[in-house]
Amino acid sequence: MALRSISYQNMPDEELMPSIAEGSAAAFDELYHRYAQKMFSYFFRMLWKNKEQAEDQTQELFLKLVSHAGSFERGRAVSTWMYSIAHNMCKNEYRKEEVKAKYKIMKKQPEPFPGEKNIDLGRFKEAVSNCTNELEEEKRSLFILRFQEQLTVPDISRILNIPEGTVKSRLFYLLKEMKEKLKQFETIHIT
Amino acid sequence: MQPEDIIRQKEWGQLSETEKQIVFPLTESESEYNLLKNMLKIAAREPGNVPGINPAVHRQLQNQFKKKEQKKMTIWWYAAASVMIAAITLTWLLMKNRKDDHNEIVVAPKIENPKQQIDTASKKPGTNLSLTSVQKKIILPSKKSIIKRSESQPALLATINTSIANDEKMLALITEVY
Repeated sequence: MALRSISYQNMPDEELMPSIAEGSAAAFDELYHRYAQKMFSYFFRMLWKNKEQAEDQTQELFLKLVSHAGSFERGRAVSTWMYSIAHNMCKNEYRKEEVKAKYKIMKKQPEPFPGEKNIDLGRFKEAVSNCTNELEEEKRSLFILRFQEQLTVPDISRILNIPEGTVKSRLFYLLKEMKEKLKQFETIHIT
Repeated sequence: MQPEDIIRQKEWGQLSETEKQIVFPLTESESEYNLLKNMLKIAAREPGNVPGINPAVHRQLQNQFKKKEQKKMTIWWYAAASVMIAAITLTWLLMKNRKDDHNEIVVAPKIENPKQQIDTASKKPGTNLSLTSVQKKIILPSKKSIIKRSESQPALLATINTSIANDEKMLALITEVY
């Protein structure tokens, strides 16, 4: 068992998928350790920092991954596949009315930054967080994937299922929008 | 190279002419450039502010994974068992059919209809006995013939009567018989 786990540790993500489809718990654990926190983090930021909801979605995502492991297309990256599933799950969550209601509450009560020594930096962080929360679902996803997860444009294009040119132009307008919203912090200096 | 990559990696003063051309549609001044740089820095730090996932999620998933695998195995066992049952049933049916065919030849069937008789007339030497039901042929007169007869009867009787009256020998024979 230990030997199998060690061998899975050296395997690329794509090679773990057939083992998961065959029912290998060790392969599943390995993939979970690689992606659980990343996916949870994505859900957490996409779903208005609701921890429980993010955990539920992460669990559901991994269950989907297990049930569709057999039909995983060879040549496709597991990471982009997981992000695209997560993106679609978030879309569904946005459609639900109760989540929209929570969103409105979240907008009214932004989280403070209590541990921040530099007041300006704290305010700036808060402003960036609020601006991100106010973004539409597609733009927010783009912001998280590109500026927080640091994914490449081709990867984002595959995840969101849109052409690379569209990703680039949307990123351009997104940066412009953020710049306008944060204009009052032009003088701030961050090290 | 994307404008955000340039903003992340370089300071305003380090920008080359080509990089400036890429960045200029987005930021026209150093302060704007720095604002975007700061925003990207804060955004990159954001994943670090996310709390850790609850370990219970992993445990629940492991349990569900095991259950799913057990379910899969159970399905396979059921499938194998149903195939076995089907095979046994099929074999039994085939065996039964063969037995029935054999019995038809050996055991004489019950004669429910008393009119059924053994047709010995069709029996040829060297052939098996065959059962045929011999029924008496009853030919009913058709309506047409009845009508015809009733119409033609007086004339017929007249001819018979006259012919008998003329034939004395015949008349004597009939009288004798009566």
